[in-house]
Amino acid sequence: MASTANSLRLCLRTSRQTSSAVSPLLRRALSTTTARCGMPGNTSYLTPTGVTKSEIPFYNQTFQDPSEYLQTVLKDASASPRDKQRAQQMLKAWEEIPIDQKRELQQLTKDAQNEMVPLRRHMRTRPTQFWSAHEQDPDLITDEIGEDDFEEDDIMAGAHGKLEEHREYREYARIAVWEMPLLANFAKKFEPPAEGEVLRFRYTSYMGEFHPADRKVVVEFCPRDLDLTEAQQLKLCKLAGSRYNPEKETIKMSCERFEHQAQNKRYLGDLIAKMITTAKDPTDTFEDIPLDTRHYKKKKNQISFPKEWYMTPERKAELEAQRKRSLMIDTQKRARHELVDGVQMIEAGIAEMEPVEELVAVKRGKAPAARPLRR
Amino acid sequence: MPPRLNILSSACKALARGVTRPVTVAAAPHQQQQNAFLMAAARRFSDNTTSPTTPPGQDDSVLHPSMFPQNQQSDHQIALSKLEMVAYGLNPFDVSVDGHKFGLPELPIPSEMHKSYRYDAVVNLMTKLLMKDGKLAKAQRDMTLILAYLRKASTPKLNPARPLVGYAPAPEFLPLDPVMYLRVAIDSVAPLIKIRHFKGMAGGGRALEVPAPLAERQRRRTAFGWILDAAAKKKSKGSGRTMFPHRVAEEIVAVVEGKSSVWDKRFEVHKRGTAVRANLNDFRLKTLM
Amino acid sequence: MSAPNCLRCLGRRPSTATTVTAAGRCAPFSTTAVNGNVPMRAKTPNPMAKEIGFRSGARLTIKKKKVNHNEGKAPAPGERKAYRKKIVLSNDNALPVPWLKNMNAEHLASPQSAGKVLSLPSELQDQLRASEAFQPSQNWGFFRKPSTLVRTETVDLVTRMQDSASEKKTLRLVVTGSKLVGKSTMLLQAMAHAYLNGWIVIHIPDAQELVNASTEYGRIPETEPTQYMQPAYALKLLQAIKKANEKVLAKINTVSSHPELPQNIPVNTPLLTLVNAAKEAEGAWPVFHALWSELTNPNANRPPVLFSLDGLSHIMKMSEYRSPSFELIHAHDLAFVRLFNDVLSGNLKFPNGGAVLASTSRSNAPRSPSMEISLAQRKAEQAGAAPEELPKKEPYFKGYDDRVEAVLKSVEVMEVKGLTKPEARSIMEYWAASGMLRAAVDERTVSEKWTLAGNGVLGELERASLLTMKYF
Repeated sequence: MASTANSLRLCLRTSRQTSSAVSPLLRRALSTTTARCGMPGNTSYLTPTGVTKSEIPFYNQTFQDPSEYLQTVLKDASASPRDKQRAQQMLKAWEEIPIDQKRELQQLTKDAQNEMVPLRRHMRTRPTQFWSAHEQDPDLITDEIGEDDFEEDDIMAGAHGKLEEHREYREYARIAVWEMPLLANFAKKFEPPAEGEVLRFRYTSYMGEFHPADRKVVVEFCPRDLDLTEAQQLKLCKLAGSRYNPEKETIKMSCERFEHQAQNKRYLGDLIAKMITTAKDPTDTFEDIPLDTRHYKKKKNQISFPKEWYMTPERKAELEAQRKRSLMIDTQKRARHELVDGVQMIEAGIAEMEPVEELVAVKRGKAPAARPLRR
Repeated sequence: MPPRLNILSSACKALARGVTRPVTVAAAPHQQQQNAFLMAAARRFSDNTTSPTTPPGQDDSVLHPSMFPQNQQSDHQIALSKLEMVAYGLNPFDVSVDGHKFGLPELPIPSEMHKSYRYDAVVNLMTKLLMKDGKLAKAQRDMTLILAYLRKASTPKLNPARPLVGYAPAPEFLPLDPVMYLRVAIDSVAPLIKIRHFKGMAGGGRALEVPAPLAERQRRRTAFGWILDAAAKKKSKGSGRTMFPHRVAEEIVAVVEGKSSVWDKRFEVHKRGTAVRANLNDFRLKTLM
Repeated sequence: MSAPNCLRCLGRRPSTATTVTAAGRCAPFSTTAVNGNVPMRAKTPNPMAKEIGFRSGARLTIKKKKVNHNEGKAPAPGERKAYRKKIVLSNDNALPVPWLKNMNAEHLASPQSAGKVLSLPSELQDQLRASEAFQPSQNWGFFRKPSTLVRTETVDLVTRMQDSASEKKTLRLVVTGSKLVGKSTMLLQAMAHAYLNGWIVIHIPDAQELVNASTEYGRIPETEPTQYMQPAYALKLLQAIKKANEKVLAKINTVSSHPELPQNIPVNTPLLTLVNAAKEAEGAWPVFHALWSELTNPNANRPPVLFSLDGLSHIMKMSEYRSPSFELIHAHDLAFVRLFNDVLSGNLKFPNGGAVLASTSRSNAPRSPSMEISLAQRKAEQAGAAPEELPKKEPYFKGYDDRVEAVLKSVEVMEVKGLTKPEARSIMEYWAASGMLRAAVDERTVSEKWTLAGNGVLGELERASLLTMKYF
């Protein structure tokens, strides 16, 4: 086995030395490179400049074993006689190899090729990918070769990681100190919407990234801001259905039907215009249909204190007066001995009760005779 | 994570400082003084609840006279405030009280003023002993019902053979002070000692019984444990959630009237303790000590 | 390691015994038991088998510990409930309050007594007890004598009752309010006034008992739509009426004969005799009906009638009873409820004036959306709201009941609120004087408790001052 392989290698080496300037595009058994020339009609992939498809020998051919190749060399008219002679010799040597070894070699080549096919396949980066899924993780430690070998000339990998971490902090700190203040230049003064600016649009941006939601546009408006009568406003709310918020009294709609933001916004604008025209249409005012607010659930735990609880100067004065009044009441009652004190009442009540003779434990039988005192 | 946060926060602080610095530099010194004065005035203002609150004026240079705290109170008001102090049980001419709305607190703060010691010590202990599965609110409701029962129960007829504790008031007084009722019942049956058993020390595998004194809390705990045991053995007369507290309350009444079996338990413990008191001088114990 | 041995084993010739037994009868590697062709042995009883069973030897037997469940006599049926429902109205430990006055006929209607605590005279106590006006959840048992605080609302209600009686009209009123605020006590005070002034009082203490299918019921023939009577409840109610209104009923006589009754009740018989005619549940409903027709007879001179009911929302929904076709019966198809609703809705009037009072309950009450919205609308109307400003029904909610709304279309609504501070002070002084509140009742204490009680909710005030672990 080994001898066969060795001999084959030697053969090939000699052939390489002697081959013509244009190396044959023989598919190597253990290569991960894509075989691009194999594709018919794809002339642009030719590697050597100025060489056309017809000029390349054995273009579009894959050889199963050396004999096949050598025979093509022999048949090739353009080959030099020296080449042909070498090929003849090698073919002879090849044929001397026992048949089962040849077959084994062929099988080996085939297996290797089969395994290489997926590796050779070209990885294409798609231009529109979700967020940055195609980006490689730079923190991923890559080539795993000799990674655990420590040469005593460096800090450990963990320490490197820590340093890297600190560099990162510092980078962000630098950004925070030097670059973020510059954001203030972009600050704009808030201007409340004008009388005519009724619609409030909301857009979503992912900072230049592609995202399926960045086309979405949301619009919110209050029917009361529109130039409509009460009945028309009510009809508009009924038309809006579950998009009507009865607590805020606003209508909120969104669209992401079309590919671009502008299209969606246009659609919303048209829709609102249509709704307003329908609401103004006096033929059917929807009076028989009550406004449906079942879709809206009021949020729980909304603590709202009554207005009367707010501390105002008047309220404070009122409380103060109240306290003084109550103080006066107490003082007067005390002075007139009208203040009811629970403890005193109990004591007085107990005193009024008829005294009960206290019970004393007495042993049954005769009382013990008095003993004479011992001196 | 912490280092990142620290660095970021310090960076943000630095940023904030960077932003605010020019402003402070720009402010004129006299304006600063004025601002401080204004702030102090406003603060004093909010402390004083009686005077009207007007926000500091926009014009910094002149202070409106109404913004100064009014020092001149009318005699009537002073008299009223003194009266108020009397009502709250304070000495109106006490130096420490003057100037405080409710006076200074008594120090150290009495235990009832603390949220954890709101209730009488006995009531608190008993409530915790009533508690099952950590349901304190239920235990408190039960204790409330026990005390309510004690108020409604008829005046206990004392048994002279079972004397109550020394501080017990007249029996007519007890239902009107249910906490006292409870305390009297518990302290009356609380054992003075417990019997400690030293395993195999009496020889022949028998335990050596030695009386040991109990602290006040331990005594009360033991007594209430006995009362609860006795109440658990009683049968409910009715149904509903008031039955358990009613049984406990009935047992407490029985204790005060000297009818309860808890008295026998106490007697047994004391008798046993007297019998084995010689063991206190046991030489085997001395080797232990 | 053991391989050579095993190989040797395999190499060994199998013993003859195995070949004889297994080879012919079973498959080589089968785990199935061999059960065919075994020569049957005659069944001979094993003498040992009887005594020690299949497996010989000692067996572990665990005896269940006998728990003696019935120590002593178990309470008789109904005893536990009686104990639970027991109402104690006096406490000998409590101190007598010197300034306490007994209530008389005029007290409750006079504005001077507003904010005062008045005690119930013993005769009135018996009457109220007979009509089950006292409830076990109320704290009557703390004090020497049952007493109530007369509130401004009480005076208002009683004055309205008096006015309607003097004008021979029927006051139709629903008492509402938040939990523990004193709605049932308000009913009690109204009843006290009625008893003291010689009215006839019919009180349904718990409307739940009418509708929760706990008493027997039966169809009343010749009624359209079918109505249902509750004879057992009728008997109970008649006995309560008799006990509470004995004196009044003895004075008034029947104006029509009642041929439908088995007993002969001629004209000019005292109503008491009529009521006494009901001895068993069987004939109780006709007797009650006869009494009702006597009381509502427009030609007779009758004292004013107070018909009151506690727990209104129970009768404003489907009852638990089933019709012969096994459908739920609406509460309004029960004859008692129907009578009450007739008066409450104004379809039926007491000829000599009177009042029909209902109070809602908050502790044990089913939801009745129609009742809630109707009462809210009535309240808004009384406050002077325009018809379009009234609270509106949810347009898409399906749980409304038109019959309920028809009944509550024109009733008056009185919302009981928390006590005012002077009222709170008054009742707390009474508590302190009874020895049940161990504190000086000054403005500070009152204010503290009043605030703790959610701005003077009476039940909460009791909880904060009487039912507490903290006695100052």
